[in-house]
Amino acid sequence: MERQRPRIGGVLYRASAYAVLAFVLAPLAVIVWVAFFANPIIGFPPTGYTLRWFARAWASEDFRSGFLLSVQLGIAAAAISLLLGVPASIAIARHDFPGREAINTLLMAPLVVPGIVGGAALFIGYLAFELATGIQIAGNLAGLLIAHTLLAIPWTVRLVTAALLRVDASIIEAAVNLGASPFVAFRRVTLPAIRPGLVAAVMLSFVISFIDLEKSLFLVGPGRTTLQIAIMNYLEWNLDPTIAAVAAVQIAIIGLALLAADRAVGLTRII
Amino acid sequence: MAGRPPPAQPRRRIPGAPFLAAPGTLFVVLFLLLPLCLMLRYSFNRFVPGDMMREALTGANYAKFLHDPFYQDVLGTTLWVSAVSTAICVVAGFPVAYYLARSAGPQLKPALMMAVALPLLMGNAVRSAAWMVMLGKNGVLAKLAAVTGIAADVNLMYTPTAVIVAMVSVLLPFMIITVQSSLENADRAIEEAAASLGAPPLRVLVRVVLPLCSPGLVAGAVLCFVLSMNAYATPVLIGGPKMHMMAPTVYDEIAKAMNWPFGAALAFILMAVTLILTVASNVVAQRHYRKWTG
Amino acid sequence: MAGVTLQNVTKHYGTSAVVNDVSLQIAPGEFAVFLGPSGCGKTTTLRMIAGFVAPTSGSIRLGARDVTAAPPHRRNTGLVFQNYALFPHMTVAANVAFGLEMRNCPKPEIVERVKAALLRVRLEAFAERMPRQLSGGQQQRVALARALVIEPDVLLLDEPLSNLDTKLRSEMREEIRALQQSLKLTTILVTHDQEEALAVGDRLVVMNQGRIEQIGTPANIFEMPRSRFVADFTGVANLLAGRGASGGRFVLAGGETVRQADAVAGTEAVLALRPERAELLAAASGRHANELPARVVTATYLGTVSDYRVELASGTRLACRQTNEPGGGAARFAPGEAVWIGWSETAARLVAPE
Repeated sequence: MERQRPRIGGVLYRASAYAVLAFVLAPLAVIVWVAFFANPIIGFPPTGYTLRWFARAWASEDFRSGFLLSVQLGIAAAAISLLLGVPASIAIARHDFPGREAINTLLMAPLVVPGIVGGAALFIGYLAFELATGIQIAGNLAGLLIAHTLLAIPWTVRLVTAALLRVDASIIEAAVNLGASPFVAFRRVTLPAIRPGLVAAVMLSFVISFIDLEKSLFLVGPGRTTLQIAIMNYLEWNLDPTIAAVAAVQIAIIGLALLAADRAVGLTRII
Repeated sequence: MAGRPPPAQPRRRIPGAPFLAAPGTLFVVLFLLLPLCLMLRYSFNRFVPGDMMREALTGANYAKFLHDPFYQDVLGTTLWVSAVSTAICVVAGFPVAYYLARSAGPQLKPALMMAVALPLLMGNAVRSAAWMVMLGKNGVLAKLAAVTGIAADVNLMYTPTAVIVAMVSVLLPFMIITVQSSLENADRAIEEAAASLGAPPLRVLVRVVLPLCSPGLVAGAVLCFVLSMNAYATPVLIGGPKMHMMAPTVYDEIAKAMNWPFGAALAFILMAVTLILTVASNVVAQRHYRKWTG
Repeated sequence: MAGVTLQNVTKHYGTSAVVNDVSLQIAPGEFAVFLGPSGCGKTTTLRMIAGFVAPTSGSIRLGARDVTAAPPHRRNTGLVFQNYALFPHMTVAANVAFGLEMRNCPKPEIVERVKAALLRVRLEAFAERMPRQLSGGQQQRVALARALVIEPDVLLLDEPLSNLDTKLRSEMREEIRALQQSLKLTTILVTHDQEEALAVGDRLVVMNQGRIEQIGTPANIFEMPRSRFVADFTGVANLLAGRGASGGRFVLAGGETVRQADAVAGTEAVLALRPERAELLAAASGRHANELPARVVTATYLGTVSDYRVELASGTRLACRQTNEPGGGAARFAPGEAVWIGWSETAARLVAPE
């Protein structure tokens, strides 16, 4: 199966492929590297290595509370989108009903509407609601959670639907044939079979929520900022090793979540 | 990325089934569709400074966008930056996609696929920070330029070039994965057939590979273009205060100037361009496939 | 154990009838085979018996029990799927135990019965394996054990052998037949393979376009096809249209008159002649009631036999299969050679034209 490659063209082509990959990865690698530099101002080469920027980042009220809020939001958004998305996926993957395509399109819509537009609309909607009822949503946790759940729903529906469709319909029929009621068949056969899809959905939902910037932009309030907004605000005035440490931590967390998703189902299959 | 609903399995019609989809659907209607409708309505209202807005049915906000040279410039910059970034992504992304689909060995490929997929979801704020470290005046590239004697004092930050460079690195993974999957779907035996008929590699590329993956290339290009049209963090952080693009302008009008009617109009123009391009590319790709599959 | 009764069973999808007015009675302990090409309605009929497809009209009874409206999990049928449909996340033993758990069987009894079931299919050593660690034939036997352990009223086999290679297929075929015999289990097997059907079935139900074409024992179907379709489907390669003449003669469309025992004067019919029931001769011998001059068009050496295509003077082509002589080397006749083709007046059979 050894395939011949033409000499110069082949070398150039391989080199360009790796150069492009390096271009994508290099900045991320560099910022992780910089996070360990001892230099108090970002500069090259490093004068030594230290971990104190991580401690300083954690000591910063903005980063710490932003981080905690983002983690909470990510977990809550993933959980709620699972609650809303799994039944919807079952309807789409297993049943035929008028309007099925329309509902699928609608559930995917948060992916297509630009983040900044959706965020603006939600912000305006919240304020209009507040004007009408006096109940405040914008700037508090509920408002953010709704926005982040909205972001997670299309991913959950898409992943769980795909997982359901990959389940061989005949194994469910086999269970029913052996005497399992539809509910028991779902619990004993379908659920274990789609577990990887559920894991991937939770991981992806968490990541999508965690890194969201545009939708949250309108909805954060004083003292209630997500990590991404905190990073944005910080970067407008500073670029120092502390922010590099924050970036390094984020890269590590997201990397782990995505690797978990990849172990569950091939990551490249789901993006 | 959104795509059509998956093909139906052989299923039974169970009367209650649509109700399973109801909570999720209701959520999206309530928190996406309804707000968008409200915003559309507001975009026809009149803005009165100090009084937010007044009920009206005017096209003035849209007219303002079309006639005010400042906003023409914003749109122009956005389109220009997006077009250049997309073009670079097409050219730079293809070899990687082809390498992943055809040349990478079974051990290397999963690792490389992860290397492409991971940066996709690292967050635009963090990636912008990374590019600031690369491009800033104490950054990696400035240092490299100084050490090698190319230039003494380089600061690439706050230039359109810097925005395009950062944007391309954000978009490339999308391009690569889209094209790679379309190559993956095309039978490699077709290329081998062309080669066995005497076509040298470059002719195989031009006559067979590119036409076969053109729907993927179009889809990838549209995705890149749409994402860069809507980019927020990169223009704000890397482009600096003088670089005006659409998404940050929408934010400024609505959240800072509190000019909702005009901000809403801007948002709708942005969304219209996005949706039209996305739908058009889906139609083009589908027509293409239908021509092949009969 | 119970028999299966289908009464006027019809299934429509939209306006097309996939199964059209099928009535059939399968006796307790009988091994019935639904035979037909894909799309003939055989699998749909099986799935209606299992309860996965609801008939548009008609009724289905298992023994005395009318199950037409019963949900599939209350029917007590043992279904073996074409792709086996083993639960990928359960061990072999857990797969087999599943149906017993659903029947709230006490734990110790489950263990006993699973063990016995696996022993019966000679997989006792594989109890703790996962399905994907088994070969195709082993997976097939697990599926069989899983369906048998619940002691179903009827065992339903949906093309169970189509994913196995040729050698394994005939082994499994015998194994299934032996199991069915020893358990005296009412069994229905769906297949498109006539050899498989002949090998295992007590009774064959040949289906075409949603209808039953013919029901009979394997020998009955093989020797006495009633329609052109059944003849064609059971491997009769020579189907020659013509008309009956007086005195047991039959006139082929090409003009040749042949002796045919069951010919009825003036009736349009199709002469169905199996390739292996005709003999090629170097010269006229007078041993056959029918001997016609012909020319060899193609000759294909297949080892035990050779397949020939010959052309009569009228241009009518016939297929003929001859056993090769031991040590004979290649096919006996070569393309272009002038030969005689002969068959007796009872070798062929007349079937109704379509």
